[in-house]
Amino acid sequence: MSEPVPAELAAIRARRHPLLVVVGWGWFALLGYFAATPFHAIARHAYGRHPRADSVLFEAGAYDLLELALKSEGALPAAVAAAMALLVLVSLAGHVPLAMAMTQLAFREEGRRRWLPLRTLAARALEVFLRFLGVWVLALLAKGVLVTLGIWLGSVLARNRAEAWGWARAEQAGLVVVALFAIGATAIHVTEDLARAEIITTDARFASAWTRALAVMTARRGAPVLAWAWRALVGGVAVVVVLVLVPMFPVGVAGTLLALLAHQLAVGLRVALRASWLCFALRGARARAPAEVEISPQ
Amino acid sequence: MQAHARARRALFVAAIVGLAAIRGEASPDDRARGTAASSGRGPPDAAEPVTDYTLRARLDVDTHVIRGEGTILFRNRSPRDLPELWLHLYLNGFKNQSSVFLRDPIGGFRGTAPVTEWGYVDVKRLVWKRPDGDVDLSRAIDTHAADPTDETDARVALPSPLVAGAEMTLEMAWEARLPQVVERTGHAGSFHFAGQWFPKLARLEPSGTFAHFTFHHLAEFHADFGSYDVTIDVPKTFVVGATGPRLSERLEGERRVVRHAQSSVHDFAWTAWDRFESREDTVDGVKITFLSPPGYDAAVRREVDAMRFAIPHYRARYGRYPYDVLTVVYPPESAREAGGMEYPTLITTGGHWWGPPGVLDLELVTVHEFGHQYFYGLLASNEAEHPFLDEGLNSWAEARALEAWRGQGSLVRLLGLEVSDHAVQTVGRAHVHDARVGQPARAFALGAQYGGLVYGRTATLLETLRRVYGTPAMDAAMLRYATEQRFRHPTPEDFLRVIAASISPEAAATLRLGLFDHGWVDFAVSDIGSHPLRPAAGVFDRDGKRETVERAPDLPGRFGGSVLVTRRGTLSFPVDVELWSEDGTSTRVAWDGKGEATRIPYEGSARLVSVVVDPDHKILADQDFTNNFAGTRRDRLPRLLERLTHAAEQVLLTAAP
Repeated sequence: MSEPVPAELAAIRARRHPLLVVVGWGWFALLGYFAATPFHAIARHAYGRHPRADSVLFEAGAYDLLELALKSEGALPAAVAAAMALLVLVSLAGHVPLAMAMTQLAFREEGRRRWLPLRTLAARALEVFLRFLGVWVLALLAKGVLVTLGIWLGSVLARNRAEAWGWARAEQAGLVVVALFAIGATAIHVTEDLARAEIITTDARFASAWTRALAVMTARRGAPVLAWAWRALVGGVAVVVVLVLVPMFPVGVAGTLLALLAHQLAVGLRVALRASWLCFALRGARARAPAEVEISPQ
Repeated sequence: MQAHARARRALFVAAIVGLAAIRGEASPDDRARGTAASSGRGPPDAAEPVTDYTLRARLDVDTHVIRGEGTILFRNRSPRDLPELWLHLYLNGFKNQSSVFLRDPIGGFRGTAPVTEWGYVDVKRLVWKRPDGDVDLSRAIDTHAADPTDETDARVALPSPLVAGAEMTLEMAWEARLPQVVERTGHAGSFHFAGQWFPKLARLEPSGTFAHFTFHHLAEFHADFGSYDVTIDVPKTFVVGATGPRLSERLEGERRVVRHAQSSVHDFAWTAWDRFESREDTVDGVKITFLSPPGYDAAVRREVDAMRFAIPHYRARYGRYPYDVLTVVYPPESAREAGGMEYPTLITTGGHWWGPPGVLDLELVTVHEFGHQYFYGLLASNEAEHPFLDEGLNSWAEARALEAWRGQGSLVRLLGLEVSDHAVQTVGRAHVHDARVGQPARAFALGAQYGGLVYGRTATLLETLRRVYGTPAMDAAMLRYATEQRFRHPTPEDFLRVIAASISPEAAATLRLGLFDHGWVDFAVSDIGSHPLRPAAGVFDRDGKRETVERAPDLPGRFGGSVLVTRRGTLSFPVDVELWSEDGTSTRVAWDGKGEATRIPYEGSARLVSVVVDPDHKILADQDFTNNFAGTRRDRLPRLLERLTHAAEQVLLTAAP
């Protein structure tokens, strides 16, 4: 088996890994299906025998949709709990497929053009798992503290200036404060991925990964934030577009298929944009990395 | 001397108003006061006055104290001599924790925040102005006559009875301290809302007794019609909004003095704030003043749109709004509890400045509070004893109006989701077995029951009547009730009588059960079966001969079967039953809904696969929609699965690493 070697910078592009994007989309589609299943089961139990099937739940007025929500009062918390458990699980265990994907993006195997062996990817992912987890936990805490602080300061400002400025102006000023802190949280979010890229690319230790990532953010004067932001914006626009468009689709099998297509295109686009962003981070790390860094074949 | 002059003026005004009411037309003075002339057809435009108030109030914005003085001209229109009067001193509900308002542990509705600043009203002077000399009634005021610790319902023993048909003039002075806004009234910073701010006579019933009650957490108000002429004195930087049109405004040094007057109303409220922004609009001849905090322009625009729809809509359905003015007050966030309330010609709304346009909560509260100008203001039923007559009927009218305006998405219209206000109101059925809808406000043990039953359940029962018996009949009934009972303080019996006459005695009986006896209904499909048809086999005696018919094969393309539909509960309505065949066709069968169950036979060219009772959701009062259908197979609900999966995918993509 030949050894994985760092990919050339030009090769670290999402468009060079369409199959990886498809796998990523499949991963989220599968998880989405699992998360939706308890809710769907509740609805199916209550309304599966209605002659108009699920159309009745989408009818104008929402009489049956509200009825379903009310009558599922006991079951819904269980479904929500199951979905939350899945989310936590995915947040923890999801670092393995993420590390595999980043490794696949950043390395190539001598003599093979496309895929590193699954065993190599898995081993690499397990090797960096704890560091990835640490990066995630630290970033989560930092983002949480920052956002909480922003909300608190914003609300204090709004409350204290409400009498002088009026509630609307005071709350708008408070929102500006929250937005500033949210930008800070976004910067941490971006740095988090840069740190992951450092771990994958240079095998950096936990502290070193953060140091390097912060150095990149400082040296490039926040350019990575912009690179992340435009992709997030495009993804957000795609989500809004399908949210607006899909209700216009006809009822029935054709409409459902069209909705499926539109929704999954939006999901696929977001996955592709995420891959594109990770490539950006990996390229940055690669450009600064010592040439000898390689991962060990397993 | 000034007081005598005011009393004389009050007498004069009352005489003119009374004469105008009798003649069915209004004086020029009345026009200035906002009571337009009667058209000669339709509902009356003026009430027979019982109590006329001429008041002057000076607001100290630092201490939040209103110092008031003035006169009440009261007419004993009952057939009995009155040995006493009852005065409502509602602000004493916020005086201490022994008041009925604060001591009853009722949560789940509005006004549940703790009182941080106490409020009260002290009657400083109460004098009966008589030709034979003034009689000081100040010492005759017993604030504990109705309750040993509550001071909101005061008895005033008269030294000699006020004889039937006579009138009396009371001269009074009082001091009212507004609490921090807890429920409806009070102050928040420099914002002041003065509701129930003056000593107010309880309503004199036709029987000669006073409809008086302590101020309860869930209850609202009840009073006689009359005219109010109120002069309000505030710092000159303050903007004032008040019941009735403004007759004058002047600056006196550092003070602003405004005078508002309105006849044919039963309360007077006002607000003063140095931050109000004002906008005016005229709809259907009614001058509307919108008062709002700075930065709420978008919210006010939504209110303007709502009022432009509501005034003509309510005119068509419940008769003309007879006043010349309306003031719509949007309290600041810090005084949100002052929002969502109605007073004659003045309503309060409220909410955030940033409400999403697809969620019509602001439109709902605006239309709802305007609707109270009818179901409270003009009809003036006893809100404490029969809250469903104002809140319930008005909630139905609100949902009906919003549906006429915005269709099925009358509450939410967002990203393809259309939620009807009628649908949301059905949640009140959760409390059907907990309490009676038609009971007094004080009888409800929980605010959630009060809200769910009085607002939601009443509206759902009325909407069910409309859908079952038809819109023309229901609209005719409501128009008749609203116009015939205008200014008459109707009771539940008055309303049920109109329902019986305009719709049917059966409808009225059903409504009575629903309102007063926990009436409920639950249609359900209990059984469904279908099978191929074949000739009957067995031993038959025909024409004197015994004949044995062997089992025959199924008739090709012929299927039989039946469904069993049951009606649980005490209410009955005619209902449609929709039978669905395997080939996708459906037929409808009507059931009068009178029995406890009916078995509906089926015969067709395809197998019967499912059935729906009440497919058009006419019976909104139904306790459970999820048992209204049955089928022989369970659909996979692909559309729902697709939407749910997509939603979960987006959440995971956002939250997962």
